[in-house]
Amino acid sequence: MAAPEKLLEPKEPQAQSWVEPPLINLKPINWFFDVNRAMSLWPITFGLACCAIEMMSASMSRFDIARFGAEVFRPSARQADLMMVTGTVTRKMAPVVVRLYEQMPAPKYVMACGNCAISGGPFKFEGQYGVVEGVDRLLPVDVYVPGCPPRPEAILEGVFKIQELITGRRFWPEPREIGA
Amino acid sequence: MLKAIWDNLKGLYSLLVGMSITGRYLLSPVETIHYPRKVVDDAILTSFRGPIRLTLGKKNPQETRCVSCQMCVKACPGGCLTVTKGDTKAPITWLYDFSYCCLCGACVETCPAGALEFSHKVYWVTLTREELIMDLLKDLKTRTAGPNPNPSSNPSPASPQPSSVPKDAPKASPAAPANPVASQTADQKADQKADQKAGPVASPNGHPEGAKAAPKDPGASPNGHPEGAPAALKEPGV
Amino acid sequence: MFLSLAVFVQIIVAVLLIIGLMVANAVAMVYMERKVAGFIQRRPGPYEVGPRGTLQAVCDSMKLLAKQIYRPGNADLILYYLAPILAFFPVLLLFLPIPFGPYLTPLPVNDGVVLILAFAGLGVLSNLLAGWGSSNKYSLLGAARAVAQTVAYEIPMILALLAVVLLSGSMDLKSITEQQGQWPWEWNVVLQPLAFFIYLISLVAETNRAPFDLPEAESELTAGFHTEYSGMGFALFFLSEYANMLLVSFVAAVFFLGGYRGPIADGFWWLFIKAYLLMFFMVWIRWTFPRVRFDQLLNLNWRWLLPLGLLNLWLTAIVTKLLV
Repeated sequence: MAAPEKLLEPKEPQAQSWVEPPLINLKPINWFFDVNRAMSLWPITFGLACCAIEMMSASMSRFDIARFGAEVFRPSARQADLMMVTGTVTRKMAPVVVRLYEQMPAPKYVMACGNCAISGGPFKFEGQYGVVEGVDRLLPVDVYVPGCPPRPEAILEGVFKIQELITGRRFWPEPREIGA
Repeated sequence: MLKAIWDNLKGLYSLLVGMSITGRYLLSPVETIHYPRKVVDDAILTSFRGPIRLTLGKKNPQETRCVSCQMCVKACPGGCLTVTKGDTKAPITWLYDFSYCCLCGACVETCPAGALEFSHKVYWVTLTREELIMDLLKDLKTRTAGPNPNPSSNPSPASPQPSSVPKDAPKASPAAPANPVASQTADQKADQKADQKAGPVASPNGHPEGAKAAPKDPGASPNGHPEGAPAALKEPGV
Repeated sequence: MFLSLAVFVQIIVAVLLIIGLMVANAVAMVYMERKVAGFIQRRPGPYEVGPRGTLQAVCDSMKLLAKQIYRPGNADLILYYLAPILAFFPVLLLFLPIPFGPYLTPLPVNDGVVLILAFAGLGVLSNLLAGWGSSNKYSLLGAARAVAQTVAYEIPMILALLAVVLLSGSMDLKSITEQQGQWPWEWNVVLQPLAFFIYLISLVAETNRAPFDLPEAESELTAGFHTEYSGMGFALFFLSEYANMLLVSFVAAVFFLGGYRGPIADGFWWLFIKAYLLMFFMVWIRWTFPRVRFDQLLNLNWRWLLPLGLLNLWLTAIVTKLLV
């Protein structure tokens, strides 16, 4: 269904991932490693379509994602933590997306950037056969950044949200109001 | 042979030129806008197309100008909109799924009553996909109701969240702890506040257990619902 | 016995200090590289983690420590785990003959040059094992390129260093340092500019740094020979790459730039200053130039640097032995 019939309650995503608890499960140590993980999220170079330009723009001079530690875009999935699915996931690309996700070592996080990655976006219509309607049909998504495309600041906010999910708090101040 | 040597020397000179360029950049000031602490100019942000919102009514700002003609529903290429007509011309349901929107502006241009406009909701990030379905009538009411109306604020997500009513103090949310770092500005109507209150714990919903309010089903949808009679809009968290 | 107790203790203490140096160097280099890369691109680089981003390297290494360790199913059990260890430890050995200060040589041997040049080849072995043991076509291609490149560029390096050895008449690194004067115009770079230039290029190529970083090229080989390494294995490769850079910068400083000798006071600080200036230069080069194609890389070596190195050696020999 494209046209919403009613407001939906948020539900658990369809795909789930589970990580074993560590052998030494002490709270201060977990917190220490969580903060370190949050401050050094390494994204994988996974730009699929137009939202990838916004991801590149977020890593360029004007809005520098390197300030928060996420500068090192690793090309190899084995060395990355964060998969920013930016752009439309087509049916042909879907097994590749899943394979790369499975190749990433735990702990890993997924951010769906852009309307196409969230729900198929404007490419969804009755009888379409080419586009996967939302990457959360394939992978468990942690953060959704809507927009077509979202601004680079919204991508930065997505990274902040993932940091908040990992550590439990947001470390950076809120931006000021528009027009204020 | 000599030509090869001369070419190589010229090549070496070009290497030095390249290094001087990057050396110059090394010494020139950075042009980064340190995002959370500084933002880009308002001129850029206010020309950014965010999710659409209803414009204020001419006679009564709390009522929409929409006449339920369904032109926007037909014009939308993504099929994002659902407008239900009531007994009078005014709509009783106005739902908008932002995750299918491509911000083309067809709805804004087509509307004969001028009831739609783009908001500038730039920094929106959600934890669930269902939060992206917005109820624009409710948003209009919340923007214009109360002692401090801010009609130009951005629409907030309408799915059941403990603090999607930006007017009330967010302390009413039972289990979502207040954001320890965010400087609570006096104007709480920004949508990013509403998103931050979704709870920092790593649960996909981020909602406290009790805040699953009744589904907002204010009217009969085209398909007919088991709920039948329109339920009154309930404030979440109450 | 072969070694007296004092020398034995000295070597043990030196090895521990050198391990500390390598780790500290990696932290400092990660920060310097990212900051210099940032400023060249007119952005600040790591800024928010710690004051002005100084804790970024610590965060990275802690994160890498806590990543999941696994190996691909087809990967060779021993080789896959051996390769990062083999990348890390031989570099320790290479730091031993370098004179850090007037009385601070960990292992005072009288043929330090031979030691360094001989064990530099072990680095390429680790690349090869990593590439072969990963059972991944990208890794294998990366390893093949790494072997070809490193083996090829060792020869101009040897020729450049040999020219300095001929000039100084000894293979002991300390006496090479002592024979250079205090002031910059008395250093070997003035007497052997061509050798310095050849050595600079080989330096960048030996450590697989851009523009010669085909073995770990990002857009071509998805991280080359260390594609399949996550977490600690990758951290060890990273660490050994920076340690290798530090090592060759030290050697360049000792041979061409006067080692620990400096204008005001001789000491280990001069060696570090010179080595870090050279490393800054290498980082600067990395973010300036595009990657060199593989056949261009080998052409550069076999058709230009090797004849130039031989020519330089021949001229040095004539001038030193016949004319002086």
